[in-house]
Amino acid sequence: MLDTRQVGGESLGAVTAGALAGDDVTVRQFSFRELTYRRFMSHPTAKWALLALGILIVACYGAPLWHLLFPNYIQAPDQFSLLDAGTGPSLKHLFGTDSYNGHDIFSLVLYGGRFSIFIGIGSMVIAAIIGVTWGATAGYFGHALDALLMRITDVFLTIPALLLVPLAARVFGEASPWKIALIFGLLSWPSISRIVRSQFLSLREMQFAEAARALGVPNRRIIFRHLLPNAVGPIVVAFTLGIANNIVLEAFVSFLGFGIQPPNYSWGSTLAGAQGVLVQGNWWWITFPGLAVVVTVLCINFIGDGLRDALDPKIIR
Amino acid sequence: MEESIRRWWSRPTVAIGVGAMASVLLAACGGTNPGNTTSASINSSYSPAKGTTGGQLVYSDWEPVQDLNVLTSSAQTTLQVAVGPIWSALWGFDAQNKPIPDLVTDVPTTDNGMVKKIDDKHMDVTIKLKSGLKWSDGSALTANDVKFTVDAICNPDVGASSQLGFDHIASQEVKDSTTLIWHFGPNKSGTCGLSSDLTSGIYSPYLILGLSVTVVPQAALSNLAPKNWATSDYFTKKPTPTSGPYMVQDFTPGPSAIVTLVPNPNYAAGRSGAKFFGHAPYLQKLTYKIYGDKSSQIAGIKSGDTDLGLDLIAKDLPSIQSGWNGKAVYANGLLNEGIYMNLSNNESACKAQQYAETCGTPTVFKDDKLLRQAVQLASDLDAMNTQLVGGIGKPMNTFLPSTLSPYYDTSAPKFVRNVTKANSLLDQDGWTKNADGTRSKNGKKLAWVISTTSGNPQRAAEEELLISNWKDIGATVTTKNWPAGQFFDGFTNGGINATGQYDMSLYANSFAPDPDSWASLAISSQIPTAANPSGSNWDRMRDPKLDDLLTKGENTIDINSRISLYKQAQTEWADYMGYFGLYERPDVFGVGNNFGNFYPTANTCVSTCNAADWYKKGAS
Amino acid sequence: MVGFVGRRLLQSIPTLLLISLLLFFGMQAVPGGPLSAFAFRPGMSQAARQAIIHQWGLDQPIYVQYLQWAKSMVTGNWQFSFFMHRSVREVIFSRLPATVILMVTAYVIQQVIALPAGIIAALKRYSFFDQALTFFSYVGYSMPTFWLGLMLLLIFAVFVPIFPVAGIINVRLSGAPFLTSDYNAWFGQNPIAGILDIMVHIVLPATTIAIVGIAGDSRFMRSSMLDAIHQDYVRTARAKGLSERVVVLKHALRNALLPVVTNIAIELPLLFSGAVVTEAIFSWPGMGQLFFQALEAFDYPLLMGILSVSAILIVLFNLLADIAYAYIDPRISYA
Repeated sequence: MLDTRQVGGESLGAVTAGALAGDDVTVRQFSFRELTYRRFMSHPTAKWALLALGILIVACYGAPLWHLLFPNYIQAPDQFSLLDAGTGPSLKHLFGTDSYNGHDIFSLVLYGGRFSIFIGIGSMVIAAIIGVTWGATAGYFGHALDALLMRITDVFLTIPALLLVPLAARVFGEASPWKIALIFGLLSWPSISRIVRSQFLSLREMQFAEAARALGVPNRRIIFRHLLPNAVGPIVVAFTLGIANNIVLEAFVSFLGFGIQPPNYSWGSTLAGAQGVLVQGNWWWITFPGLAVVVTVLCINFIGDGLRDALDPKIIR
Repeated sequence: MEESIRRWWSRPTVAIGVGAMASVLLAACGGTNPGNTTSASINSSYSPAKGTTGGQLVYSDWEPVQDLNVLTSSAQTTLQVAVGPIWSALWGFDAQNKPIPDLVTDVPTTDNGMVKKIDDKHMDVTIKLKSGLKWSDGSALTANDVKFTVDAICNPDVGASSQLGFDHIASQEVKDSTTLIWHFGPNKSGTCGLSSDLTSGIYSPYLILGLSVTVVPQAALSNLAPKNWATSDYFTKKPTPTSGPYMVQDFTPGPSAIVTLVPNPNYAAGRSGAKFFGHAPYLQKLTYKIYGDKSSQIAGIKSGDTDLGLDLIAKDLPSIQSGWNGKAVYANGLLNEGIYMNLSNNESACKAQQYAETCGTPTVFKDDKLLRQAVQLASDLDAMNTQLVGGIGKPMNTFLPSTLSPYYDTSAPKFVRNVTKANSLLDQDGWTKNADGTRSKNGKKLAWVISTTSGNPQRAAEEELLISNWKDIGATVTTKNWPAGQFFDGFTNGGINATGQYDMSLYANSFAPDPDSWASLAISSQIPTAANPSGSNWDRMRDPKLDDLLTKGENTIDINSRISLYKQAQTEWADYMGYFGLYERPDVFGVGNNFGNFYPTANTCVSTCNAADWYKKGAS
Repeated sequence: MVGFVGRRLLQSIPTLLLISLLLFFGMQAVPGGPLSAFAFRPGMSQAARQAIIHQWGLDQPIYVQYLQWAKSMVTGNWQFSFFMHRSVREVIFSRLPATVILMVTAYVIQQVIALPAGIIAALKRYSFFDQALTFFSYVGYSMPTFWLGLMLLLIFAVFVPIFPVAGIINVRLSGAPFLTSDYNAWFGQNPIAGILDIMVHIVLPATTIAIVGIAGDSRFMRSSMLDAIHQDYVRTARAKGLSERVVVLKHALRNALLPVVTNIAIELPLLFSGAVVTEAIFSWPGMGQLFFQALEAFDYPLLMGILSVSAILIVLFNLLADIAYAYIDPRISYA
């Protein structure tokens, strides 16, 4: 559910930023980076979101350590308290327990966060590698190659990823976090490649690019050393928002039982058994893992927003 | 949920005995002694109340109904309206898995002379229909229709969901309009789906065939090519004529399907004076309604929108019971959740070798009986029952469920978890304890992988519980789960269990009401191979003693001898320990206060075999 | 314009072809395939199995299967569903109305709230309302749709049971399931009761979709309005001495709405995804629910049909969006 509208809307502004930097690549590059940092930190929420996300990541990835330090409160995913199954929040189980074996939901949220965040970031790294290469090739070379590559991109953009992911998950068999990240990555690259392509279409016409070509610099070097740094703004923004997007998608797919499976837990798979007992009013089981997703995605969206503002000086706030 | 069961029978087995009645039934079959005569041990004690005529009842499920094909469907939702309400069978089964005659005058047995052993390879079973039976359109229902139905079941173009047992019938002989003789005898490969030649036609579990023969009308179907039956109006829209107490007035398929049923005016013809189902249907209208999802079905039960809710499980009990004045009843039956150990090689990397038994790496369970016994002893069946099955499942004591009378060994010791004994078995077996609590033998760690159907929170919870149980005996167990289709798929399709690509599996089997239904899981000739791909001994059990007992059980018609054979088999199975049952899975029903004669007959009857006796309390 | 539309339509054909090829051959890679449906019937003989394989045409070479499928998509009834015993076209068309009703309702709720909210926020920039809306839209935008649906269910169907848990109609009221002939007859006689019944059922699922949509749309409306207010012609209008009301409503709003209106096409995939998710939670008898059922049973023809229909719809709406842009924005020329 990546908002193509927002990303698309900003790309125009970012091109201008690239053009400004284009006059003198090395010097401006540094000042642009510094400028970006300052703008980002002056964003009212982005820096706090970054801090909060940092804490969340440390909390989740530190889960095995917390388990060692506080064995009574933080249980490993293969531990459970049968007798406490289906009980609400208490001092012992901060977020209550599930109705099956009595897993501590708080512990599952911590442990599960590792896979949710991993899948979010991992999938977008894959998507970025494919998307940048694909989009840059299409945008830089243009013409027939561009038409062909973009037609393939269209194919992926035309079917909702929501429908393709469960289908792909069945092809891949048992879903490990790596496989899920790979599937998500393979389905997320087209939006990035589109952004990169539109950047490259205008960047390659810029004077510095033409100059480089005239000097006989190889295409690969022009693409990666000269053009790409100028297109990095929109890519970073799309990358960030894509992470948020994939965390949400993972939660849904695992909730339906197509994604991460026990004994591995992600935020989505923690919720998997919850709908069946919803009528019994086990609100804690549904609420807390979902809130973890909301908080994480909120932070990432704030960060994405901050990055957008920071990388694009022209935006009206 | 329902798709996670491996069905041994065309009619998915559901349950047996209403909760409150279960203990009574147990006491009753506990009293069975081997001295009883044959017919006594299979006489049904089903005795419905006399109903009042009139009124309307609504019963419901939550999973979709796509068609009304009583011959091909393996969907429980279809059978719940097809078997009983719309079509009558030769005979059904009661809560103790004893046959109740329906279209027939008497259930064939050796005692009443309707089952005759001719020689070692041949036997005859006489099907004697009540005389004067009629189809709903008034035409006569005859022995020819029965013959036609059996032929249809054996015709591959029809696609019947199970041909099990019918492949033993060598020929059918229509004596007169109400008498049909099934000549059981040797058959050639290809007959009725046989994959190899059958040398003997002796088939002692013949009783299970009665419910599969839900007679279909020859007159209406004979001019239609069998391959077109599945899409015909008869099976997808409005079946006319039919033989059950009710007939379809209107049917809308899909996830919110509805079947409107009205009384069959000719149902009582030929039935008057019969001990069972000897009367016209009571209700003016019977509606079968699909809610599309369980939450709304439960809401429907509690609001009185539906008078009977089928297809619920233990986890739903709290949801139904809170704030409702109806009855939540449950029943345990022939649907057993169990642990299956691969006693041969794990064939995970043997696709190229066509999963030949010589390929692969031996599992820890291969040739290690003591380990297998220890694994069972360490499993906490009681905790699983109380925590995960709402306390209404029945932990299993032998491989047979406790309600399979008269074969279940009532003297079998009750299962008690015993970690100390399990540990000492392992010590004795050479599995030495390491410093970190794990065990090893000859440098090999005590570790295996457990597999089940993926995306199923109940099963995942069971796995977790067992894994923690087995940690107590030093076993390191990890999981690898598969989509149900792949997990249960056949040998030729590379199914995980069929090809032996597992160490240990967790799933449920649904059995026919005869102990022979378990035999194909254990007899060594049933081990699936490229030459015998339909073999169903997925555990690769190979116990000569068990082979012998189970084969004899299939070839012995005398019930008393069979009882004794299966008691020995239960003892031997417990010792050999290839598969062990975890619990008899309970089926839960929400029954409204005005629903009369709801009798969750179990097994293949999916609780609807006695629909003719359903009535509305307080109707005038 | 006609040439442009024609060209775009022609261009979309290879895209759709490529999609169908990718899907069709991709599905062959699923282990087991549709035959695994028979895994649950071990009593079924090999011969019976073969008969069904033949009936379904699965014994043909893959490319022949594909060609037959493609032919039936263009000329026939989109093949037969393996497990529903009806043509895929019939199945899909029986499910489409529920999805469309849900999407349209959600979209209307979304716009009725998002547009005024966005406009007010823009006009009263940095006010409490503006800040609150910004906060709400961030949170709303970060919420997984399915979780929001579960929370609404928990609150409004379990704790305070004022709305039904699932479904599109109360079958007890109509006596027949949605869109059956009996239902249609009943609806014809009791249109008000029928509409009220659907309305009660649609509140929670539509709200679920709308909340996430409002979050995005109100911000879009706000920035579009802010853009418009800062345009020269608005400043001119103000300078002419027109009342603030006229300036805002007649000049700024009109221009600000243009991009918002064309936005609908771009929003369609989002809306569709929202509907798919919501249908899974609320058992809404639409395309989304159908898709997951087909996936469970691995009903090839049905899966192919659903995916193709959604692809065609999205291609069409993208085209509509382009036409709309071309129509309202004189700077774009598609000669």
